[in-house]
Amino acid sequence: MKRLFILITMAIAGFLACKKESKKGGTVAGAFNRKAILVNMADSLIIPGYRDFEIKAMELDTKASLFAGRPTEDNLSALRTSWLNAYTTWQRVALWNIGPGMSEAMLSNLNTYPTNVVKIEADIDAGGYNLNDNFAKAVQGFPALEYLIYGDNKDAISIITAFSDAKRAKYLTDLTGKISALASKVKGEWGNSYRNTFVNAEGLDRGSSLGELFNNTFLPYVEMHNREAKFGIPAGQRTPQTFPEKVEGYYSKTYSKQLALAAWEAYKGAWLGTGYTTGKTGSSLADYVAYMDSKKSTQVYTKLRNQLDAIGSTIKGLDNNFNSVAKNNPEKLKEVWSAYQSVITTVKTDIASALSVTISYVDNDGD
Amino acid sequence: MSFSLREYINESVHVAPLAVFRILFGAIIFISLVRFWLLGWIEDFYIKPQLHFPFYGFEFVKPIGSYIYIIFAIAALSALFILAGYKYRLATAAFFLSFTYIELIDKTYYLNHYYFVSLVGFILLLVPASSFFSVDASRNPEKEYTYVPRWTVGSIRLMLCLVYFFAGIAKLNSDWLLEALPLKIWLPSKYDLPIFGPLVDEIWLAYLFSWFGAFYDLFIWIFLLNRKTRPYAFPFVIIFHVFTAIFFPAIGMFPYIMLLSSLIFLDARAALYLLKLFKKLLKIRGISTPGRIYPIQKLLIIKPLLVIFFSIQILTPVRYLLYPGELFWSEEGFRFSWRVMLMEKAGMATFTVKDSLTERSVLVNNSSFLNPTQEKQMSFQPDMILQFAHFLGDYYKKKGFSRPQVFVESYVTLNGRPGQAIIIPHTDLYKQKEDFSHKDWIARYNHDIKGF
Repeated sequence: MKRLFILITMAIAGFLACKKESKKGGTVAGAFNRKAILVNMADSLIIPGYRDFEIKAMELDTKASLFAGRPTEDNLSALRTSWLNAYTTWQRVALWNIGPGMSEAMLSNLNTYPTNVVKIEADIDAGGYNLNDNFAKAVQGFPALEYLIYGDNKDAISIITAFSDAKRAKYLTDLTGKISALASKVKGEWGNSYRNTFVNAEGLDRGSSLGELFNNTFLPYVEMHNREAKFGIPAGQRTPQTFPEKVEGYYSKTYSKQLALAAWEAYKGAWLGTGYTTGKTGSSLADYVAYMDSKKSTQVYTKLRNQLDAIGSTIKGLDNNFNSVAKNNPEKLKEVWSAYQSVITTVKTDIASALSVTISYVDNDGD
Repeated sequence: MSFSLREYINESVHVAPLAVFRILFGAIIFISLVRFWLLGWIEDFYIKPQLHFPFYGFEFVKPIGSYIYIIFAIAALSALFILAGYKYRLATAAFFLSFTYIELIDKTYYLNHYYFVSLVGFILLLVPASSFFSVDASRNPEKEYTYVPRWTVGSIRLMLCLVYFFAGIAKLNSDWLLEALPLKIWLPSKYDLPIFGPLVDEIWLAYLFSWFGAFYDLFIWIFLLNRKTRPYAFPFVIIFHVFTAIFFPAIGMFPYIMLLSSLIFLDARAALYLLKLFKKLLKIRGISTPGRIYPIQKLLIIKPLLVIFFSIQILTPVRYLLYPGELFWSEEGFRFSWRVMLMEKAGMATFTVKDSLTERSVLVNNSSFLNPTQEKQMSFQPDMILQFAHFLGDYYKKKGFSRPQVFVESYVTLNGRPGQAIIIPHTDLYKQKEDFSHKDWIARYNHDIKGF
């Protein structure tokens, strides 16, 4: 028995000793630096993105206050421009549904559509409303703003006239105020401590940043908020009828495509590590995919790039207003749905497998 | 030969190893169940899901909503009773039934070590593991026996040998040995481990682990059985399972269960030493050693039962030979065969339900019916794809589809190879039935993995 214990101790000590020795040799040549992916993502994509979004959201709030104070045609047009800028910028950061972005429920607070027009008008009339209520997601954010500043088939004059009602003006600035506050809060948290939390949560298991990204940004976000919400639902991909009113840019009638393209470009950039302000690619998950390709001579990287590009060119072929596309030619939206579906299949199978990232957190037998 | 073998297995041996095993097994199972409970998995796996994937032939095993907590409580409590050796027969019967019931509800959560626990539970029900160092024995000296026939201790040893042996055989294939797959894919993802992190990109490490793992499984049981090599074997057991626990935390309790189970190979002296240690720790009154031999006539029915049991255990892992095609791909005869950590498989399955009468069709959103684990497991296992297809057909029949057809567009990747469809496209799965015959609607795998 004694001999047994001595042997065990020796064996373990021996193993640890020889492993430690090899660590002294420094980083192994050819090894891939995974931490650089997270650093690049945080410092070149996410934080500059939220910084820009905060600027655009504050601009929107300013323009809304101006318009609320003096509802003129010029002020309305300035407000519309800043709304579009902020909304487009939102599409570029919406995918970071992790950490602060997730805990502030940015996706549902800022972009629930179709917006609930009946409830908005009732809330304005009543004056008492709580935007933080769980059931108030469909009366705020960019789609609600769009309804207020474009109206349901109204000309500019009648929209301006409606804002002589102080309660309507207050509702408008309450909405832009909340967007701006949320943008500052999330940017602040990223700039503060979350950046380090994110960068230091290494690995691919439970709780790691890459694990979080796969379980939010790279799969559910793109499935629900791009494939389904932007294309599948209006086109009636899973339903017998189409839903042309369930599109982004429903009231402005011009911007669905611009918004969808911004979201696609951000998703592609997240894979390729494209810097938010620089537009240059840095250390990225796509590099890691390529690295794993080289280990087992597969071509997943090329496949991913081609499929990502195919989404872009399919969207570019659409008309600006998805509402009319859904009405007249829903098959066109379904084509984008399929293009997204191809990427999602690759991510969920080839890439999740190659990177062995944990998609559902439960004990497994490795099969 | 047969005469001497009979004599050998009937020889009286000390019951201490069996008692040690009983205690450790009870303890680790109790811990496993509490962990499962605390992780919220009872709710997530057995209460929340809208549908389950029962095993073929066990479709009558149904979930019972929140009452499942009672079943878990029974299993956990009986594990404690087994540990203590208190009301032993009742406890082992209750444990075997409750644990097996839970495992039969949904094959999504099938793990080889859960199956192992069920089987050991069954063996424990048959062997007199509570006749020593137990509450039963100390309360009633009539029930205390020090010596039992060798085959009672041997049956648990045999069970472990079979697990190791078949796990080893399963690794003798071209992917595992020649390509170091799937370890070549898995190891790099462990780059953040202390000490080992910088090594995970080394290809030799994947080969080292693959070959060491294969040799370990193939031969460790021989070294554990042999009294002379046993002291050298235990360190390997510890190293192997500690390493698997470090590198693959996702396999959960498996390394710990196997580590503790291997102590059944201790000889009587070492086992007694351990029991005395327990005694000191728990301040239990002395172990009496009356030296009574367990009456053989009480075991008469049990021996043939074990013979049948082990015959099944030997045949089950090789049943895959009856099926054509690549086992890792079709998974026909894959479960219950100690095939652990053998492949990296991921898939996606997109279902369309069509009413052949009205031509109406619907594209299914899997996640509105399945939890993430169910969806993941279903997407690459043909028998589960079929079960889900039938669920969908029935569901849409109720929704007014008079003649539902169910089609699936599938894509599965195995050990990092480019993916392909696993189900032959345009197969109406609603027409296909589950049985033990080969499923000819499974697409042929484009690659060849040689070996077992």
